[in-house]
Amino acid sequence: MTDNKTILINPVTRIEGHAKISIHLDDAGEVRDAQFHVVEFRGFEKFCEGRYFAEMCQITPRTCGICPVSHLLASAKACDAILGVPIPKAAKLLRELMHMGQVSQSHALSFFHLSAPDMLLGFDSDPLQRNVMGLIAQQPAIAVKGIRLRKFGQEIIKATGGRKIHADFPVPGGVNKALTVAERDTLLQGLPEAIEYAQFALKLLKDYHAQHREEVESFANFESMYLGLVQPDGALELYDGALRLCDKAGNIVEDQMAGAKYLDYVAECSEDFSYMKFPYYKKMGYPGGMYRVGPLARLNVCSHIATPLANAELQVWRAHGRVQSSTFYYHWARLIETLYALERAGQLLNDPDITSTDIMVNAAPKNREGVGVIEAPRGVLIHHYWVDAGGRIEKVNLIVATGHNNLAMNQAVTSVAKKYVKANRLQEGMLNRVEAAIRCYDPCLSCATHAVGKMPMVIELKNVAGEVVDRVSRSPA
Amino acid sequence: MSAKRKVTIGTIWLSGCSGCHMSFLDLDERLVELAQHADILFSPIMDIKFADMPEVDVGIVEGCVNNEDQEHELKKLRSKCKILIALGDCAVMGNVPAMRNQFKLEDCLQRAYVETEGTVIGEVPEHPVVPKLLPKARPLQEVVKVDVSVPGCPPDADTIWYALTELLAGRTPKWDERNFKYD
Amino acid sequence: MTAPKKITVTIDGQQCEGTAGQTILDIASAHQIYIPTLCYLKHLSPWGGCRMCIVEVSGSNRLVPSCATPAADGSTVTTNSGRLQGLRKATLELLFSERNHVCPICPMNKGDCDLQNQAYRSGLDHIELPYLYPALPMDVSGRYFGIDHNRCILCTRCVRACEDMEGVHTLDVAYRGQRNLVIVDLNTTFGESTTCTSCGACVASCPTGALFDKSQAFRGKLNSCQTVKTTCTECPVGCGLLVFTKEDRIVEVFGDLESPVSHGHLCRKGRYETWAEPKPRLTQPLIKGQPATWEAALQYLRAAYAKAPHWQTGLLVSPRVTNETAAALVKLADKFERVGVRVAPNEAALCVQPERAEESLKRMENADAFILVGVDLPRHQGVLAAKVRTTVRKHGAKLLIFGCPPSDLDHYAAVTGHAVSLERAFWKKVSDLLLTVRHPVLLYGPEAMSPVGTTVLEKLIKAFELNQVGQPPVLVPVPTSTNSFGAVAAGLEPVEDVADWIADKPLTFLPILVGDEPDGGARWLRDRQVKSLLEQIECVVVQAAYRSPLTDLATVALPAPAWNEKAGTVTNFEGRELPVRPVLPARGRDEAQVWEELLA
Repeated sequence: MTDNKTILINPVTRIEGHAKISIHLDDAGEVRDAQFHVVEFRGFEKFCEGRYFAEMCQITPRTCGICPVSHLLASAKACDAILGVPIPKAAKLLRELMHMGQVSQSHALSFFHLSAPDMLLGFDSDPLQRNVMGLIAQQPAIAVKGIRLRKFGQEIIKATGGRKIHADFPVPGGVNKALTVAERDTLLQGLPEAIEYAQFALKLLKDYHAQHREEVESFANFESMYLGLVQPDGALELYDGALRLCDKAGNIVEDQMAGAKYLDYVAECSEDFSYMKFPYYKKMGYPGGMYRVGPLARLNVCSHIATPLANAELQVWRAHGRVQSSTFYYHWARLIETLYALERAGQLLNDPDITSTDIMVNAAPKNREGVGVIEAPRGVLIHHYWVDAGGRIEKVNLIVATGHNNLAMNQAVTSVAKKYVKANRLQEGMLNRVEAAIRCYDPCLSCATHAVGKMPMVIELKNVAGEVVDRVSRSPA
Repeated sequence: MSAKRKVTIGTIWLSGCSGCHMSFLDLDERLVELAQHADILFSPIMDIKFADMPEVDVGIVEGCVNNEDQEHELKKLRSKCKILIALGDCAVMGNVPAMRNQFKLEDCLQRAYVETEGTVIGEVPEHPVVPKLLPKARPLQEVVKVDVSVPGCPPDADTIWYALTELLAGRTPKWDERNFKYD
Repeated sequence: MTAPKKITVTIDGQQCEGTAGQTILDIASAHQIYIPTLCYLKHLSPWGGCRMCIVEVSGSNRLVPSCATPAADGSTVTTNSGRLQGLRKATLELLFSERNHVCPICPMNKGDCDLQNQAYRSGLDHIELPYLYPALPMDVSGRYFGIDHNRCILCTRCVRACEDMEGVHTLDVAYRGQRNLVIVDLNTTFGESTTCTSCGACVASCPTGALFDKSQAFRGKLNSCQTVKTTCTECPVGCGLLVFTKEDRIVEVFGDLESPVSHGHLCRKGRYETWAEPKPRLTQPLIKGQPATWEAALQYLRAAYAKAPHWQTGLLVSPRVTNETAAALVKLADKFERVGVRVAPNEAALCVQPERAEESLKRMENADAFILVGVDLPRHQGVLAAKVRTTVRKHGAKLLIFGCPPSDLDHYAAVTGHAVSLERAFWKKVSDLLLTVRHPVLLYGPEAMSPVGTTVLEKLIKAFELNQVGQPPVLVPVPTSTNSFGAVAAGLEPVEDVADWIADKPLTFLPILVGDEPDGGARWLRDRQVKSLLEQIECVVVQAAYRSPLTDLATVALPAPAWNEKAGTVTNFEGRELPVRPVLPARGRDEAQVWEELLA
């Protein structure tokens, strides 16, 4: 009789959103495979039907509280496409500035608050301390830098949009708040310190990398295609641009794909074990058409970065190979992007039109559908709306960043589980590594299911019949 | 002389967007001050997992109740804490996730998992691991007794700080037109 | 008539004086005593249904709505006891539980919503009732505004505004109890409504985000905007506008409740076409279609003017010009062979009519008969049409229509004479009808000055003379053009046929001061032959705020200020001088100032 066992990690913590991981063992007690279950669903793609399209800029950010700005801006771009008129230059600058603030904030959060505790306090350290509060207690100098770096990103968001989380700022046709000279100057003053902290974080990471080479290089290291936005000349792009798909070696498979045509090359599959769907590259079918998005993918597809400090760091990153596939490199890529975002924010702040009040055009909708594509901190985000002549939403389709990574996350978890989890020695630190694989993707599961969920806090070893065979408790000793 | 026992806090998030927890993190340097008076025993932004949920003085819940697992967890937290705080509009009044209540649940699932334009291989997820959705998304007070409500979408850090410091001082937060908002 | 009786009421311990017939709320407000309200608007008939303004009156257990209850002399009123506070809070809880009030996604969020503000005032951090989550629709088929029933509190302000101010009664409440719904016509949509005139009074009266303007939604919080009061220049009625601005853009335009002309009402033109219709702006001078600097353009014009023989120069100006610009142009008249202001056909005769009916709108409210001759009120002077409708509906005034295009007013008319009939039977009927009338108001437009029109007027005057009992009719001339009265009074010569005027003598130099006409002067080209005539003139200068085929055709096009960038006065149909105030920085130069500078 087979005696398959399942290890359940429940909940996956220090990620944004709700998930469970189940690890399936074979008879020999080795890991057969692992699944990443997203357990929540809210239904944005349905309950937005019937709303006025301009409200989408307010509704969709409620998908996610970490990256609401991504939804704010992707939504606004989709609405602009429905209007069918170009928006004023100052509006574009301001939206991109807000985006740079949110990329900085979100990446800082991901690194300092969610992932750094593992690195700085150790994967096997006391779980009661292995979190942001523990970091504050044990390494306050570092923790404060992280807090302040995130804070600066939030300040950019607040100065542009009027509020840190869920600002009502972009509208179809532009934005509704201009940046005052005083606000612009205050941000410019805070920029050098933020850049310093980003570089500090990079050094931390590079030091860790140097000390843990073998582990880092092999951590959830598997090949895949990569998808990201690029500028016309191939430079890294986070706000506008067009899509580029590269293969595992970095060769361009599809280039300068218009975001509006995403249905030509992306399809989705629903599986019964997760509320998050599985997007894949249509031409290669499911699941062979797996690709990754996000910082790792973006740095793999771009030819260079258009700002000097970040570009220099990119060259260091690429010293180990043109394409990086170890999941750990996500963290490193995230910090390089933070540097780019801050430098780009500086460029935008120094543009004389950034304080202009010509920030909005008024127009009636010309088109019946619109697509908005942006690089959220976690990857490509697509909003697609269909409207009637009066602007009533008829249909909505959302493909979020973390969704694109679903296949990859499942693979990452399987890969790590196979390496670290031995059923006869079930250590807390090993399970944490499996979770850490997920954390590298910095999944925004609120976005990915356009929903959220929660579960009881138990780790159980169950057999196929669902009977609890063993229980691992993580209560304090 | 014995030190004053730190207040224990536990937070969970249900059907929300995590914006309220992010707003909590917007306390920034005040987090350090909070750490001196309170221990956060569990939270989605921390890493601790317990075999069973420990007892805490204050339970903070973001998000409304959307599926069976969440209902179970909320009731569990209610039984483990002395003061339950509903944090944010979703927890207090339903808010955006409750907009699905105007539609049939099956229609929502069909649209998301079968009908969307890019979905080539579609089925509605049904697996023991993924929790069953409740007929309607509900605010917390329709499931458990709530002691303190902190509205906002999200409530800003100052509002959260006010609620926490009042509770730490042994008082109930008093809301008037100056210190809370629904937006 | 005896003066109204004075009364005294004690409100919250304070002695308050008022007059008999005033409501408790009226007297309280006059003494700065605050009572919360939701369904009450001062300029609409009271309803008393929301139960927020309930007060305690001594000697009775019943709580009364102060907005709809006359104050009793000598009574004692309590406005804010613990009992009242609790009941008001309960009312708010019922409202929030009944429908889907999702504040974060609403355009009125953050300060513009009366419901939200009342809830904050009451400290309503949560409600004790279960939410009903009904499935309610949203209608955004209207061009300028939409309605979200999820946010509606059934206060009926919109229903009352539509009836009391516009008089079309497009909105009403259908079904019963929890299924109550505000409906359009016989439960259709705004887009398909056959009665809605898009006057926007409903939206302006809505306390929540249920009714909202599409061009304002999410574009600026009204409570954080600057406001400027100015006069609408879309027609000669001269309604008061309350304009909300933020960061150099217009966020909203409402009617100014304090306007002595319109008392807060507007028609579609003033309410929406002034700002919510995107129009291509002429932003810089053009020489033969190519962008140029002001210096280059003025230099070109100086040379062209110098070259042109004086007798071949002329200047035409739009009747939308302000009185001040008109006066300035009159001073420059000797620099051109001929100067004229374009007016509608037959309007010149109207301009020189001696009557100017002061307080016309007030007198219309008291009329028991309207006689319309040669006007198109619903299309051109919407607020006057509204006044006719509401007076007819409320007081049963009679309506007689002569020589007007078909419109919804025909439904109310006792007599409609579209083709003039000289039949005795017809005029006997008219005459008999007019004998029963006591306070008639006769509104006549340019078409009434035509030969046919004057015949009708004569017959009507004769009929009125037979009436020994009633007052003589108030004669109200209603021009079509915004400030033809002021322009002609300033001394500009009215020009009814532009083609004739141009062709009369050869022209080499012709400025056309289109100004802020919304179509950029395109309508000038629709008159027969004007286009080909203009093409033969060596130098045509067009000064306009908006681009059009006319500005495209011009030798030199110069940006002029838009309606919201001008300062000055216009003279309305009553003969009143009304202020036009700048709302935003000018993006063009005043038409007359350009010539003063050029020809100095």
